[in-house]
Amino acid sequence: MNRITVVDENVESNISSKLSFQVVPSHNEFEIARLEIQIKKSCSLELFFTSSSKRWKIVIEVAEGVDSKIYCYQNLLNGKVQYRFQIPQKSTVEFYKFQGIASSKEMVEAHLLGEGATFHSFLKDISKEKETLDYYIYHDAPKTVSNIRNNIVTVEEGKVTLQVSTFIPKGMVGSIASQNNRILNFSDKKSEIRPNLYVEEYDVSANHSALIGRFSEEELFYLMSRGISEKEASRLLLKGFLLSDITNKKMRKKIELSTKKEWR
Amino acid sequence: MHTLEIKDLTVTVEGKEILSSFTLTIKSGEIHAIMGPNGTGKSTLTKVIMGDPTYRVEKGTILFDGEDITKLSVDERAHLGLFLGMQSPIAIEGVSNADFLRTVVSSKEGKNFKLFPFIKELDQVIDQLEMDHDMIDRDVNQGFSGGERKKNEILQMYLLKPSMVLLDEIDSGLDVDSLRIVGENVTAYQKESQCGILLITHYRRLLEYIHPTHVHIMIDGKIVASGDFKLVDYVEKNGYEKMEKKEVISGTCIVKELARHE
Repeated sequence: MNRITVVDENVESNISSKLSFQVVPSHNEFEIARLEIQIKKSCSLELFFTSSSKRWKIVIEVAEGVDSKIYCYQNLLNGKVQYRFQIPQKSTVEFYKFQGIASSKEMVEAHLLGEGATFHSFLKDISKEKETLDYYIYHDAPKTVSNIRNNIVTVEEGKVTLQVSTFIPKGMVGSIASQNNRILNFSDKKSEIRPNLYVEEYDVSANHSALIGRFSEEELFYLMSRGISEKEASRLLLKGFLLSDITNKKMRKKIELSTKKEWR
Repeated sequence: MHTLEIKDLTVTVEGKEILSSFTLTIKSGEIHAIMGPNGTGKSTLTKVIMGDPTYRVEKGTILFDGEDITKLSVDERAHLGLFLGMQSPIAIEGVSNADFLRTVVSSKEGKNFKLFPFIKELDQVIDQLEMDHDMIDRDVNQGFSGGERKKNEILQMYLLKPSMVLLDEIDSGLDVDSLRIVGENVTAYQKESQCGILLITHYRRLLEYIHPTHVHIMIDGKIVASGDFKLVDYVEKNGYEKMEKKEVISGTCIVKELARHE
């Protein structure tokens, strides 16, 4: 699998000819460093991203008719990062992101530029600090598809403000937009979800669901009725919450290890 | 020999009385079927026995082998040998059936848990229940049909080997073939283990596979009539309407009616 590793401003890579990238470093603390990735043929990419106090903009451009899977492992401490996806017609991006111990401000921007452009985004996040996440999804062509699923767990001092805004302007007929935002809140701080659907066209399908809470009594009762202790049942449910949608073995393993560490 | 005794149990939820001075004793080897109209407290009964914290026990006790279990947690009751096969088993996203079942059995067996015998038994029971082996890698009950969910409950029953089994409408949502498979497997387990069974059902068909030793009619949170399989025939023919009238609530009226039929 292709791999790009970013640690502060040091970038290492091991990639095939299916993609290329360039780095535009920042010259002072106020400038934003840029990582520009071009995906030319269908492939998978691992992106390891660790940064403290630096500001990054990661631009991912996909060629027409290309299917790509991006597995992003992010570890930010007081960092700011912006992801921008440009997805042309008949192209699909699946963006899987796992992050832990985040204290960050983050923005994900996806532009669906041509018919059939599809963006699936799956965030799995264990938050121990203050975190702000903003998603902006633009359906800039008819028959485009977006599917945003955010599963976040807050522990210790974790406090998340999650805003997801989807825009479907007039004329973007046949577009499908879905948002599913869930926060399991195990910290004393108050988290927030702001789901927005800005839809100007009638001939579309758009839906969202948002939930902040803990495990349901019903789920705990079911597991405990099989002799599983409350603690073990909670661990199992947490693991399920963070592993849903993730089929990549490496990412599953990393999530399982973090779950074990955070939920002893 | 195990005994489950429910004595004078009154249960409420959000201030509403669901079970009213309910009394019933089930011993090993006995199969008790409870029938009754919708909303009469049958499912509540099974959940309360299992310790669902949604319900509040106002008075009465639940004894298992003479020990008061009314205040025990759900998992503690399961460890004593109680098992509840649910009417609507929930789906758990992201947790594979394999992971779940392994956790279930290892919670019961503790340090004695051995992976190889577990896998061997699991494979055997999956075949016995005519389930698809792929289900083991799927998320718990996620995308399962009604029949698959119910078979998954019976699979768990086999793996946990309970001594007292509560089955809440295990026949709902089953096609004729699945009903036969579930019915035959419950009966086989009961014969093998000599466990006690409390069976909630609306339909005679399940009782043809799992033949009850005792049949009870439950209305408004209490048992209004008890008997043998003839009571099932009576209900099938007459419904619950007559029993709901206060003057015929006593069991003797039912017995008289039955005598007249015979």
